[in-house]
Amino acid sequence: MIQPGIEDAIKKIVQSTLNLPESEIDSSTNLRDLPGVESIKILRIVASLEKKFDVRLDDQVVFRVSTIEELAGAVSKLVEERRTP
Amino acid sequence: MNKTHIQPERMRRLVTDYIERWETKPWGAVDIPWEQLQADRLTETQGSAIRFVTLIEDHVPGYIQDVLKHFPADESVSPSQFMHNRELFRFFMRWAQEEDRHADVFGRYQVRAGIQSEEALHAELCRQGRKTWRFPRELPVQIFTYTVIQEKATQLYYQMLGRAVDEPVLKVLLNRIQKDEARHFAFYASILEAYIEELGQDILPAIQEVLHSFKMPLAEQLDNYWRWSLEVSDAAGGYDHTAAYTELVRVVQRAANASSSSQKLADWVRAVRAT
Repeated sequence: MIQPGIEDAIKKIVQSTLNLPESEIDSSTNLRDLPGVESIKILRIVASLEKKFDVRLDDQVVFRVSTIEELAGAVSKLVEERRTP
Repeated sequence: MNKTHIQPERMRRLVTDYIERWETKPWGAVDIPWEQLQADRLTETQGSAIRFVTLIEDHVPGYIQDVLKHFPADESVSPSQFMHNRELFRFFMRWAQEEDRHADVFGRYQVRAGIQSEEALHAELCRQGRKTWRFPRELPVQIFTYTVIQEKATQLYYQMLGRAVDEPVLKVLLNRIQKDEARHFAFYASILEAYIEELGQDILPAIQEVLHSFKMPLAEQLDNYWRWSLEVSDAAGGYDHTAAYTELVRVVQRAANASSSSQKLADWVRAVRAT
C-alpha cells in the first residue's frame, strides 16, 4: 500500500534531479527510460528520498526497482514499518 | 567469431612500446614531498574519497589473480595463444606493480594525514580485500573493453579530485597517479584497437555487452558501495564514470574506420550512446 503523498514527492525529486517537465514523468515509466537519466542520477534520486523520508533502502531494492510506483511502494513499506510499534 | 586473439607479434610490439615508456617514468613513495602535507586543508568528504580509492587500488591481488586465469600461459592453450598471453603477462606484471604503488601511497597518505590510524587502515584493507572480484565477461576483447572504460574512468576521477582539493601533497599524488592511469588506458586502448582491426567488426556486439553490464570494480563487494560512491563523486565535483564511455566510442570508431567503415559501426555507436 503506497502512503499518500509519497508518490508525488518522488515525482518532484525525479523532476528536479533530471530537470524534466512534470508531463514527462509517469508513475509507471521505467526510470531508466527517462531522458537524461544516468545510473548516478538514479542513485541521487534514491539518496534524496532516503533523506526526505528518513529511511534506508536495501541495496537489492535500489538496484531492482524500475518505476516511481515501485520506489514509492518500497519507501511506503519502510515508513509503515517505522510507525508500527 | 573464430579468431579469438591478435597476432602475438603485434602484442609484443604493443607491450614493448608500453615498457619503454613505463621505464622512463618511475616514481615511488620516496618521491612524494610528505613534509609539505597540510592535513587541515583536507575536507571530511575528501578523506572519505581517499579511503574509498585506497580500497579499490589495494584490491590488486584479486584483480591480477582473476585476469591471469583468462590468459593462461601453459599447455591448455595453442602455441600462438601462449605467446600472446606470455607477452601480455609482461604488461600485467608492470600494471600490478603500478596499482600496488598507488595503494601503498594512498595508504601512507591516510595515516600521515590522520584520515585513519595504521591499525584501522589495515583492518579495513583486510576486511574488504579478501572479497572475491571477477571480470564480468570472459572473452579477451571484453576484458580489454572493461579495462579501457575502467582505466579512463579512474583517470578522470583522479583528475577531477586533484582539481577539487587544496591539500598540496594530495594534489601531487593525484597528479602522478592519474598519469599512470592515463598510460594504462592508452595501452588497453591500443590493444582494443588491434583486436577490432584483426578480428573485425563482428566483435562489436561483444564489446557492447560489456557496456550494458558495466560496474566499476568492487561495486558489488564493498560495504555501502553506492552511498559511498555518491560521496566520492561529490568530492570530485560531481564525477560520473559514464564519461569514460565517450572515450570507448572514440577508440572503437578509430579502429573500425581504419579497417572498414560500415553501417554496423554507425549502428553500434548509436546503440552505445543510448546506453
